[in-house]
Amino acid sequence: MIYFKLYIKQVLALSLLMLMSCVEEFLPETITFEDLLVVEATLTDELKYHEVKLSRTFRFEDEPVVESDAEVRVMDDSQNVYVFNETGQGHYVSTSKFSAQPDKNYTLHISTKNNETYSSSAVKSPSNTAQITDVSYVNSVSSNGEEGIDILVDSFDPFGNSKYYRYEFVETQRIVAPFWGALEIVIISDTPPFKVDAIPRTEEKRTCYKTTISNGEIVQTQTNSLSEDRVTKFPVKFISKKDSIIRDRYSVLVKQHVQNLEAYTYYQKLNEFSISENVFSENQPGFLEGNIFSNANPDEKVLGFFEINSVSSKRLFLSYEDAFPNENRIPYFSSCSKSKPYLTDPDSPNRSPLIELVKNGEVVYLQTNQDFFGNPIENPPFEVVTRACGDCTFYGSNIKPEFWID
Amino acid sequence: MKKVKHLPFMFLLIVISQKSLSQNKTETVSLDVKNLKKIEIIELIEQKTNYTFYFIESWLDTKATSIQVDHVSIDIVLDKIFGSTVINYYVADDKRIILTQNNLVRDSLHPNFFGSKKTKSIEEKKPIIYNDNVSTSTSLRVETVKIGKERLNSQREEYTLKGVVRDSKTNKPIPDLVIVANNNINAVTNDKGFYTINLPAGVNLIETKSLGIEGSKKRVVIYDNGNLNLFLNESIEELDELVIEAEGDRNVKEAIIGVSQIKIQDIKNVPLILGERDILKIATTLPGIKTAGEGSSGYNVRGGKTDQNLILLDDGVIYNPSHFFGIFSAINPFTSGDAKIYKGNIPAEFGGRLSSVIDIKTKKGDNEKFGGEASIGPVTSNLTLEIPIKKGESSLLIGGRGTYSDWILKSLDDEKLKKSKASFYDVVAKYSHKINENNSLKVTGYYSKDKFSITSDSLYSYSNRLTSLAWNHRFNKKNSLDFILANSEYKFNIEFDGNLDRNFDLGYKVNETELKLKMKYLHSDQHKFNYGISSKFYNVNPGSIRPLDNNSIIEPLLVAKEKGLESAVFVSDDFEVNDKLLISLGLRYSFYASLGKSSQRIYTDGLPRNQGTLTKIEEFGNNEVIETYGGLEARVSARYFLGEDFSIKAGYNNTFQYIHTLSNNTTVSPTDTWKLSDINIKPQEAQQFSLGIFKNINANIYELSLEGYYKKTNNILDYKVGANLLLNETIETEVLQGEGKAYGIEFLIKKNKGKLNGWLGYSYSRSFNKLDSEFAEERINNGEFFPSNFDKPHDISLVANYKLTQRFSLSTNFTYQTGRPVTYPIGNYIVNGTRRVFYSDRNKFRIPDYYRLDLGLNIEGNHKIKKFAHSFWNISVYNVLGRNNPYSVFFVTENGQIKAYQSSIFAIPVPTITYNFKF
Repeated sequence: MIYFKLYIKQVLALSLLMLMSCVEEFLPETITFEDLLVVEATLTDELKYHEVKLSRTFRFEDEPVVESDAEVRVMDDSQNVYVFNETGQGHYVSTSKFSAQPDKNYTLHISTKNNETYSSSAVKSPSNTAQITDVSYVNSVSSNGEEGIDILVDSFDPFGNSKYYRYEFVETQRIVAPFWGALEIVIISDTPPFKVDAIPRTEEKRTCYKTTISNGEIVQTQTNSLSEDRVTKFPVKFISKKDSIIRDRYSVLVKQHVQNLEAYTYYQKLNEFSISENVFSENQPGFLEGNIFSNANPDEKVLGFFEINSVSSKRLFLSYEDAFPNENRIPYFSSCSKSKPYLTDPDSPNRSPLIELVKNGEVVYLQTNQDFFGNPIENPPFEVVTRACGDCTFYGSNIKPEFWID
Repeated sequence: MKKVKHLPFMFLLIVISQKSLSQNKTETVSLDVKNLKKIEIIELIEQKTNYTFYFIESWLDTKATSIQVDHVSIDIVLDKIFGSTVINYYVADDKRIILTQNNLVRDSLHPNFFGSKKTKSIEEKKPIIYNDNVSTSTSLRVETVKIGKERLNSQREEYTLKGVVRDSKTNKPIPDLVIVANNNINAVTNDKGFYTINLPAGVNLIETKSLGIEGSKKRVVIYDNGNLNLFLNESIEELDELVIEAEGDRNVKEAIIGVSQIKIQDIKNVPLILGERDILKIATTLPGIKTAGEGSSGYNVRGGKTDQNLILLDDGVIYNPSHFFGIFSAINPFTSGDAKIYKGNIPAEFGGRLSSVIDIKTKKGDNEKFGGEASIGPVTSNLTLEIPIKKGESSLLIGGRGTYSDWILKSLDDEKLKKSKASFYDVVAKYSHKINENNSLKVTGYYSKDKFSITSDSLYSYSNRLTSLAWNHRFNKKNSLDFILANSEYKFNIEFDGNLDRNFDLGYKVNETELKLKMKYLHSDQHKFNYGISSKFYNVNPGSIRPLDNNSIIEPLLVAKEKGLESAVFVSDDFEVNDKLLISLGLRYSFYASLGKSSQRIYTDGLPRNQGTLTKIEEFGNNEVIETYGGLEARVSARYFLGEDFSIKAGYNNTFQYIHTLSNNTTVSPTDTWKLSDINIKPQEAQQFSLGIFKNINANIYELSLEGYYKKTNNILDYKVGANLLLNETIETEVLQGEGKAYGIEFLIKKNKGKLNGWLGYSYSRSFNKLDSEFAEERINNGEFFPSNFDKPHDISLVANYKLTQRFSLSTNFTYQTGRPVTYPIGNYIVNGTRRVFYSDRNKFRIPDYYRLDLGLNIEGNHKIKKFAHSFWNISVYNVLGRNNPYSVFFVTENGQIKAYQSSIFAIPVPTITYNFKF
């Protein structure tokens, strides 16, 4: 067709389209703020001192507000009362250790310092039949193309009662200072004539451990549509290859909560309301009603959910070399710089750059300064390194956790 | 020689009673002429014989005529000369020959002239008597055209008039021109300007009406089948109009209230987005029709939900009328003829949706000549072909449209979207066959498909498919029948192929088949009846999921099929009470039966539906009736003329809807499913009252209308916060049914002609819902009325087109809307050590107002150079002001901090060039 050739040319002449979708951040202002009670109450079948947290809603620009001086009690259907006392900051801890008994109903009662009273609906404790059978990991690529590992959970409930799962995890990483020196610098005289010495370290500064409790992220799964109540290789967490949390040795304790349907749904909605959405569709948000109500005014809004879960947990260890055997270890948390500061500044003999740095905690001993023949040099006496690189307590605790297996 | 050069007026009828035609023709004529003009032959006869001719010279054509006769009577000679022309002759006794144009000069009075004296055995037809000199008010300045010549022995009552209507300036054919004869026979010109109309013998007053073309009136005196080509004037300065209402005075004349018509031919000058002319986007510039925002599919008509519109393409339902999240509509603009949108009163023949009917017709392919149209835009290309199968009888129209690639998404500024892809296409084919005068057949097939993936491991796709067959049969002048069979299917699919054990393939499908019989009975000028029956069978697969591979532990799940039968009988009468009052009375009785096989869950009455209140499960066998619903629907409207071109109209409408979308999004998403009414889900109901005044000014150049409405709905569907709707076997536990109300006033002014044309619309409208219950979980906003998601009180739309020269025109489009309601986070709280937001009551706040200005320049190809193709360029800039219109706002918890985002789809000016050509 003649026209065909004719318009091919026209196509080439078409200017490029610039289509842009734009997502931009803006600062919301609170329009009509509502001051509401917020309850966090999760009881489990673990025998322990259980905790309930009370706080209040706050404006975007404000800081959290706690609800103090309240009376908190949990009652079961055999009329046992568990009293919770405030330990500060809106934290209320049970006066005795107890565990939620399977198939028993529990209710939460709160009386605030303003004499407002609130109660939860009765919540049935689930039977604790699901157990984590395995926690493993697999090399994977995230949905945005990043390489890393997925932490996977396997669980099984032979009785099929569990169905709704929520996960929490506690991560611990080992931190080894890359430029660790066996000695530490002690200041003998910080006035001229300056004098320092290096003595063997008394405290562990080379290997530390840092523990982080998972916050906020709500990880859930359900087996309702599956043929058996089995969680198989469910990814609870993705860790990027470049995340320094796994640069040395890493451990994660995965804690599985078996929830009831109401609690599961509540957390699911809570999660839906706070995850990033794509531009083209939008979930209908709304006030998320929980199971705690004001006794005097049923229309009063209360945030939070009283849930009773059965818990099972398991720990996984892994080293960087296990997950990425043929790859170079990723760089340390911070860049390390070595230097040889003068004990006495040759230009102004009243100053000691070394002592200033040591006093400020900026550097630690790396090695003694030597000449070509191995004889110590007096000024500058030591080669030092930034503290973060020579002292692991900069990042973590030097106390090895009991569970740790190297 | 005696020639009558200028008769002041033509003789109407010359009554010469004393002689018969065959008498006194003693003188014979011999003639041998070659290639002479008629006038020359007449002169020759006058010279050689005693005959004298009386005529007007301009009647005679200048065709070369050859005659060879020897001693024949003058009749034979005259027959030879004028036999093939419209000239009649009468030979008088005194050898005068009187020529007449069209009229037959009678030598006797018609038998009925003096009463009913029947003397002839063959009943002679009534002579056609028409006096040009008669000057009545209707014939004032009306040109008279005569077709054919009167034959003495013609027994026919009806003749066929054909012709082509062209623009007198450009000589281009004028399509879609409505031709109305005085006795209400209508014809419409096709794409090539061709029309056919059957007229009763005699005098007919013919009027032509079309967009942008000056209405014309002609008196046609028809004696025989004939041709009449019309050359109509556009006003000198106008070319492409932006007119929406077709017939000039329809605005004020029709009884039905709240109806808009869009002709795709007329919207090509409106500025485009991404090079697409879009019939449904244009619809949203009219008062009362809105979308939730850019990039949201679905339309909210007069405060109704998006599932309350019946979108018909050639009588088949299109469930998802959008491509690419609503940025494009799924209606191919090249193959569409026109669209009628009923937002107030819905004709009784339609039903099953509460808010509106959008009736889109595919145009008929040209059955005379092969032709086509193509366009090249930055995102899509489009090709339409019109193929005559059998000349003059049948034709095929095929149109296809598709995207080039996924690169639009790649250029998006959103990280997630950048890695995603999207493509779509649609095809439509229509076969039209005119079997004979009384039977015609139309078959349409349509298929559209969208595919997109937002993340690398999931692929979404959805498709619409429809086929329809319409057979029109005319029994006689007064009765006709339309037999319609249509089937539509909408489905979507989600394939998830990650690397773990939960890969799945999820599908949804709704299929419906409708049979409709529609009869038309033109009883009289006072009564025009429409009546018929229709029945629709629904078959819904509400969802299925199956594992994609052997490793997947997804258990196959098939939510049980739903079936339903929706039937209706309807009758309507357009009753013209008097010159001023026209009443359109429509009644429809719709009846719905939910059919098995099914297990229906029965819950304790008066308690929230959940696992705990489930009392029993009732089983129903295949095709067993589970539950029935039905009701009488009134469709009544009336028009009263308050003055010339000034009318008042009122209407009352009630509707039922038995199929509902389940959507958890504030805007329409491609994974919304349709659910049939069953034992737990009642049909939605609506009632609407409307009142309006309509005025046309200056010979229909300006149209003004002011309409108001009040609408009450019942059993509209809403959902519990965060409800999970897909693959849910107990959907009734997530659904809430409540009431709604909507009201508004709509103002529209249109200028149909002139250098500057277009329209300006304003509406003030509100829409509210209420969900009340004694149980907190079933109550939203404490059971008070709250604004619906698409409650946008103020809405201004301006569409204007300014003709610079014959080839260049500028167009603009301006829209302002109040921001839609949104549920805002109003504060923070801490859970699990993380800051979270909590939300206000539903729709308590609004997003910022929306406004946008688009500009377009249209360049017509040069008419002068003879080319294969007629080309047309459109250069548009969408969102010239670069307004960052927030489409949505959302809040995200990132690293324990709350962040607020607003998203906009087209935040910068978007230029587009499209090239169109016709061949």
